Amino acid sequence: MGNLKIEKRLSSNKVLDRLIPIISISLALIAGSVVFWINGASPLTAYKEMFMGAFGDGYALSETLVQTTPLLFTGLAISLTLRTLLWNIGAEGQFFMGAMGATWAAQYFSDLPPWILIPTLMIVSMIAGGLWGLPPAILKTKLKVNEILTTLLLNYVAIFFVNYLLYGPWKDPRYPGFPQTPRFPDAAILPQYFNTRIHAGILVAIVIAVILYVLYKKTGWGYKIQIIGQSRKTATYAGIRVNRNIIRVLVISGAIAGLGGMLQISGLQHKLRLGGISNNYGYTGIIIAFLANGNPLAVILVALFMGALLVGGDSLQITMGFGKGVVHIFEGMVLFFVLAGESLKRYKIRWIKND
Amino acid sequence: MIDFLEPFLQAAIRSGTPLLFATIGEIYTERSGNINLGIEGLMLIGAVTGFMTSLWIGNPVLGVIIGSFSGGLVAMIHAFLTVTLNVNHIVSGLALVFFGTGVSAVLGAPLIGETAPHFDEIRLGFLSNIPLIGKVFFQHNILVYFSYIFVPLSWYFLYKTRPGLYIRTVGENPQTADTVGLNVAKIRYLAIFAGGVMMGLGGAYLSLAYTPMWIENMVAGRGWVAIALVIFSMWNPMIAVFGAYLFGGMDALGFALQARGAQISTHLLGMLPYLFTIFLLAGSMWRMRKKSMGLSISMGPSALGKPFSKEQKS
Repeated sequence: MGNLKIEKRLSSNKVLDRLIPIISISLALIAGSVVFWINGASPLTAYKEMFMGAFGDGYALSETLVQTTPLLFTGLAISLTLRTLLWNIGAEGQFFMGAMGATWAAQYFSDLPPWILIPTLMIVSMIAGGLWGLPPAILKTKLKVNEILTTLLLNYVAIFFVNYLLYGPWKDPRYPGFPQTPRFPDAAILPQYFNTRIHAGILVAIVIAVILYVLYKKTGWGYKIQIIGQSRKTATYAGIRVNRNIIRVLVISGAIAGLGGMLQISGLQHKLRLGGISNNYGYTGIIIAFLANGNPLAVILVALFMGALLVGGDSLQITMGFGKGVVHIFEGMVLFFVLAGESLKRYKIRWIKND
Repeated sequence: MIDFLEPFLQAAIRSGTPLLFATIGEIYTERSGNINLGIEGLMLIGAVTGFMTSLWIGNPVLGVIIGSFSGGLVAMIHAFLTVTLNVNHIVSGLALVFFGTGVSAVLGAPLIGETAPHFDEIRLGFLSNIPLIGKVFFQHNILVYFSYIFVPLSWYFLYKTRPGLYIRTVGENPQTADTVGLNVAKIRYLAIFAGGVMMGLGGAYLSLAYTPMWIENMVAGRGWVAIALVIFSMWNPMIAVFGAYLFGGMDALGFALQARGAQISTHLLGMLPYLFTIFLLAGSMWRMRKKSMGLSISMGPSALGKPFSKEQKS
């Protein structure tokens, strides 16, 4: 008889490192096909349906990009905190607060011309999202309260608060049955391109990804937060103000997520509407940031994959009757396999014979 | 006043009980040094499989058993990833939330609108007729009564028995535990399984006793609240009782006030339990900081969330 033994790898294997994400996703696809099969559908047909639904024609592709846009913001927001080994589970709430802030500004400053109004909306939404990241940051640095819990709990507060506004003071009086605000003034609405729903948000997201990339690679601040992420102790010894930077990171992360909320409303929804704000973008963003390993350019690729999964899942629902659940199962399984794969990077499994 | 207080306190226990089961489950898990953030997913699994079983077989007791067991079974994915493969506990737990949400939605789609045999209120003779106390504590379904026995037993198990000591040792200092011959991995697997069973039980309570039907995503954030309650209760099952009922009470307060005609938005009231937890978290950390200046108060199991493998010693 023998034994399975798990050992630490002494050196990293470059080929393996590249292959592991691909193998992990393939294994998740195989495991996913079992789900389809159990539900009496041919896995091949289902995957083909999903792929065609996400990339099959111009319209499908445009919808994938539309879904990718908010995911880029939440993914980038969370990837920033991951670099400092902080977990921002609150991007969902920050996204809501950004959307709320933008809606307030669109009504309050509705007389301004678009070239002032749009930047105003962006700034207000970033302030709203950033403020939503501030209490967890303060509690983390002053009292060591775990930021995972506080950011998460604030999501519920944000969602309840937005619902309160939609059912109460902000409700459009012309449609009493619908919890939604009136439409934004034209000056607060972003243009859509190519006769599709693609809007300027995706460009803003890519600009932010590039800015973050440059910040990480070329600036002292990027280096500092990386050291904080590797070891708080080392950072303290090196004279880096750890607490101050933790607060900055969480607030900027909230601001990015909040900006995503504004662009979702100004670019796509054109009014604040119940059920039309976030589709769990904040939570999916966690997966994206983790899979991208904190690299903002990799976030773009992973967000595109997740966006395609959402759109493909929708078309699966229409044609084959599978609900959103299948997408969630798939997301969960991709994570399981990627996690298992990550550990194979660090450890190897050996079969040890004992006589 | 009493006609307001009675139903309110009763509702607090009614809606606090699923939180209590899940919180105790997470206490078992965390006492062994593992963090399982997947409670929300495991509760959903417990809720859907419990309801399904009761619908098909017609027996809610079997439903609770299957629901609990399913929770434990799915928690084994987390155990394998975190204990055997040493991956990040947080991400593994989040993956469990997605997985559980998805699986329960797919399994539950045909169950929406169905009614299954469920648990009704059982009165315990004269106990239920005691003024105030009878109504508040002894006019409940059988799962609530079970929790009255289960919670002290859990406390006794963790603090007064040898297996309980093993779990706590593994959570405090796995190296030492290993040296004295305890199988760290095995004990953690068992603790995570037991925890998953209790989370599944909390979920099955929702679909078989609290709102006896299946609604997609019916756990509605309770799994996350349980994580906060573990910290609030400082990893002690007896304190968890107060936390869970307090939280259940916040849940019930909105309805109680509205029933009395108070003009308060349910949405604003809905925010309260979450804000309250944040204050609790901040408060308990502040209290611990103060206390730990004089006494050394443990901030939870020392090895919580840290990877352990025998090889790392050398």
